[in-house]
Amino acid sequence: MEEISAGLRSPEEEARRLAVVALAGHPFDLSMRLLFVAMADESWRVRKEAVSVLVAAQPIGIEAVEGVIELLRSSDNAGLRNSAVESLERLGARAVEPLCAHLDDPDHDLRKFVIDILGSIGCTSALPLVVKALDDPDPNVRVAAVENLGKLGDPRALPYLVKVLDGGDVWLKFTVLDALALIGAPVPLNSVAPLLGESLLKRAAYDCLGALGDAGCLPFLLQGIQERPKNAREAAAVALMRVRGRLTAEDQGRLVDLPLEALRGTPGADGVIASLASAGAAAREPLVQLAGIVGDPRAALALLAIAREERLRLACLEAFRGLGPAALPELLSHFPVASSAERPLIAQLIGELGASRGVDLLISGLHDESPDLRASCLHSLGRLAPPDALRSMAELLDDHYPQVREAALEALIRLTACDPSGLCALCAELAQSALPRKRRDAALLLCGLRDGERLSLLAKDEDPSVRRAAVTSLAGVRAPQTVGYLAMALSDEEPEVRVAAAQALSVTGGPEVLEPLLLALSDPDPWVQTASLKGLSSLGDPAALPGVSALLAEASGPVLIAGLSALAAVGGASSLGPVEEALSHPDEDVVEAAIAILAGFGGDWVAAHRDALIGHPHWGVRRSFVRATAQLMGGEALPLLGEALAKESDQLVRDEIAALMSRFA
Amino acid sequence: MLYREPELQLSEEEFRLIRDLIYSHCGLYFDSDSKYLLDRRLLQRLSHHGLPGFREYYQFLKYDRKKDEEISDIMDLLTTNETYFFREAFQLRAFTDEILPELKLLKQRDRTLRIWSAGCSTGEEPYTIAMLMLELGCFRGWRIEIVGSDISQRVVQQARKGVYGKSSFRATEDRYLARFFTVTEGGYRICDEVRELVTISHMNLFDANRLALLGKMDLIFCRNVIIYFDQASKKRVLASFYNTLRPGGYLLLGHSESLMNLSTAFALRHLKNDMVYQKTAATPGGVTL
Repeated sequence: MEEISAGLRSPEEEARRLAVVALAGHPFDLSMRLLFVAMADESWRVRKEAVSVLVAAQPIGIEAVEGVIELLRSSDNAGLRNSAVESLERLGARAVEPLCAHLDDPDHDLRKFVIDILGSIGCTSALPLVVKALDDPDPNVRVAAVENLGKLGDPRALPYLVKVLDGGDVWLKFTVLDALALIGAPVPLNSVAPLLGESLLKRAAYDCLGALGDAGCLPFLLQGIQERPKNAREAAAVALMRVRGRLTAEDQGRLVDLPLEALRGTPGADGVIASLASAGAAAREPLVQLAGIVGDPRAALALLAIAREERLRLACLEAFRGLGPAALPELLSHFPVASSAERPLIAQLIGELGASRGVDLLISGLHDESPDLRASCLHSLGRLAPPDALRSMAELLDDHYPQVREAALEALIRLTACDPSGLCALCAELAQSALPRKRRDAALLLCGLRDGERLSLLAKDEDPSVRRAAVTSLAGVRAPQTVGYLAMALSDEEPEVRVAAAQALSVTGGPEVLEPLLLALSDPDPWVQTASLKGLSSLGDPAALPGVSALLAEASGPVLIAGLSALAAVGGASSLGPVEEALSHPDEDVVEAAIAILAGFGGDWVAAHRDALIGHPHWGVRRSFVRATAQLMGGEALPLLGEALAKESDQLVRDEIAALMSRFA
Repeated sequence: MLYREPELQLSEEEFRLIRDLIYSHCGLYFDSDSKYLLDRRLLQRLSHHGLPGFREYYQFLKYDRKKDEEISDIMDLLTTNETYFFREAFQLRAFTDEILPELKLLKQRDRTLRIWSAGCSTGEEPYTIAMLMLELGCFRGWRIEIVGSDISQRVVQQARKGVYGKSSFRATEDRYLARFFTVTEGGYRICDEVRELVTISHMNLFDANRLALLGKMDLIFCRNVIIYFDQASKKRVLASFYNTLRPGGYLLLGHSESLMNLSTAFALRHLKNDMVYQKTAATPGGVTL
C-alpha cells in the first residue's frame, strides 16, 4: 500500500494511473482513502481509472457510499466532484438510500447534486422525496427536482408538476413543460394552453402539446404555425405533425389537412416556407410533411435544398407530390443555376410530376458529365416514354458507371409498350454483341417483348449471367416449349442459373413443372433445393409429398425452412408432425418458420409449447409466438400475453405485446 | 439512385435481424435512425442476388457460403467511404512536423517504421502517408512499411489497383500529382515508388487472429471508422489497437472522435497542430479495456 501511495504522488501521470490500477487488487476498505485521493487527481485519466476501480469494488457498504457523497461537497475541485457524481450514478440502486438521506442537507449544492444523481439512476422509489423538493427554498434545487421528475418519467408526478404551472417562476414553468413532455402522459389542455401566450414559454408549451396533445389542441397548433417567432412556429409545426400522427386517417384529413390546404398561396403559409430553409435537423422532416400538405408551390426550392439530405429524400418526394405540377415552372427555371446535387433531383421530379415539357432537358441531360444526372434523366424518360428517345437512352447501356447502365436498362424496359418495334431492333443488336453484359441486357428486355424464340437461344449462351437472365425472362413468356427450356436449365453447371430455372418454373406453374421441380430437390446446391421447394409449395400438388418428406430428414437452414412450408402446403394438416418438432430446433429461424406454418392450421400446439416459446432465447421467436397466439386466440390470449409481457425484457417485443393487449382490451 | 421509392420496405423485424448479423460479424452498429440507410442501400443487393425480399436477403446473409464476403462488401454501401488524398491537413502536419521527428529519434537504432491505416477504404490515406514520407526524404535507408486495411473486399481491390478519379484529389497540390501519379485510362495511377511502401490488406477489425498477424505498429491512423461502432465494439477495437502499438506509439483518430468514456489507457498529447493519443512508454504488456 505504501508503494501504491507513493505511486499516486508521482509526477508522472502514467505512474499514478497504474497505481490506481494496482489498488483494484486490495480490499476496498483499505484502498478507499487512496481511491478518493486519486479521484481528486489533476489528470482525467487517473480520475476515470479511480472511478472504474471504485465501482467495480465488492462489497461497497453504506459507509463507503457516504464517503463518496461527502466528496460532492468539494466545491474547490470540480474534477473530484464530477468523479463522485459519476461513481454514485454507476453504483445505481446501491446508492439510492444513502442519497435520499441527504435531501434535507443544509448545503443546497449537495441537495441539487443528490437530486440529479437520483434522476440519472432512474429509481422511482425516490419519487416522493424528489416531489417534496419541488418546494425547496433554493430555486436551483426546485429546477433540478422538476428536471429529474421528467427523467424519472413516472406519471404519479403529474399533479405536482401541473400545480407548479400555476406559479410565477418562468424558468421553473419552462422546465415543467419539458418534464411533462418527457413523462408523456396526458395533461389537461387548460393547464398548458394559457402558457402559449407567454413568449418565453411558447416553444416549450408547443413541444409539450406535441408530446401529449390530442385533437383538442389542434386549433392552437394550426394557429401556432403562423406565429412570428421562428422557434415557436417551428415547435408548433413539429407538434402539429406529431399530433396528426396519432389521429385516424379520417380525422387527419378533416381536422388537419383541410385547414392546412386552405393556407396554400396565402400569407399564412409564409412562415412554414421560411422555416423550411432554416429549421434545425429535428424540425425539418415535420416541416417537409407539413409543406407537402399545404401544397404551396412557393416551397419548391426550399424542398429541393432539403432533398439533398438522403434521410429526407422520400419525405421531400411525397411533399413534391403534394405541390404537384405547379412546382415545375420554379424547378425548371432554377435548373440552369442549380447545384450538382440539385440537378438530378429536378430531373427526377420532371418524371415524377409527369412534365412532358421537361423532355428536352432530360434528353440533353443524358450527355451530362454527372452520372447521377444521367441516371436520373433516364429514370424520368422511362416514366414519360417520349417518342424517339429510345436510341439516345440505349447509348447509356454502355455507360462507364454501373448505376447509369442499370437505369438505362430499367428505363428501356418501360418503353416496351410504347415502342415495341424500336425495342425489338435494339434487342436484335444487343443479342449479337460480343459483350456478355449486352447480351444479358437483351435477355432482360426480351421478356417484355415476349420473344421466346430469341430467349431460348440466349438460354444457351456461353456466359452464365446471360443464361440466368434469359431463364428468368422465359418465365414471363409462357410459350409452349418454356417448361422444356427451363427443365434443361436445371442441369446447368452454374448454381445461379439452376436457381433461376427453379424460380422460373415456380412462376410458370402447371402440372408439367412438378417433375422437374422434384428432380431439382436432389440438386447439390441448397439454394436450388430451396427454390424448388418454394415452387412445390405454390404448386400444392400432394404428389410432391414423398419427395419433400425425404429431403427434410437431412435438411437445415433455408432448405429446412422451405421444406417445412412445402410439407404443410402439399400435405396439409395431417403432415404437420415434423413442423411441430421443429419448434424445438436450435436454429431460431426454423422455429419462427414453424410457428408461422402451424398458426395457419389452428392453435392445438400452443399449450404444449407456450412455456418454451415465451422463454425462448431469441427475441424473434418470442415475437412470432405472441403474434401467432394473438391471431389464433383473440381476446382469450390476454392472460398468456400478460404472462409474456411480465417476462419480456426486449423492448421491441414488449411494444408488440402491449399493442396486442391494448387491441383486445 | 436518387430518391426512388423502394418497392420493398425493410420491416422493423428484418432491420433488426440484419443489423444484429452485421454487428456480430464486425461490430458495426446501426441504430434505428439508420433504418432508412439499410432500407435504401441494401435494396440493390436484393436485386443483385435476385432475391424477392429482405427476409430472403437475411437468410442469404445467414446461410450462404459466401455470407462473410457479402457482409464485408455491404459495409462500403452502409458506411460513408468518402475519402481523398491529404484529408485533414492539420493532422497530417502534426504527423510530418511533430510525430515523425519524434519517432525518428525513438527508432534511430532499428531504423524501421510501421504505420497502419485501419479502415483505409480505397487507399487514399495510406498512399498519402507514403507520399508525405517520400517527400520528407529523411527516412532514406529506413525500412518503412505502411499497411492499409479495410473490411470491404471491393474497396481493398480498388486500393490495390491504385487508380483514382478527380474527386480523390480535391485537397491535393499539383506537385504531388505531378510527382507521384501517371495519367491512365479511368484516372490517375499511383506510382510504384509509393506503392512499394504500402501493403493493402483485407481485414475485419473484429478478427483478433488476423490482427495479430499484423505485428507491432508505431502509429495507427483510424480516422472516422470507430464512429460506426457501439461502445462495446469501440472498446474491443481500441484494445486491439493498444496491443498492436509499440510503447510510445501513436493513435490518430478523426477530428470528431475521442476516447472519452472509452479508454484511459492512451495519453492525450496536445501537439501544436492537433491532439493525438499515445500509448505511454511506461505501460507494460497488454491491456483489457
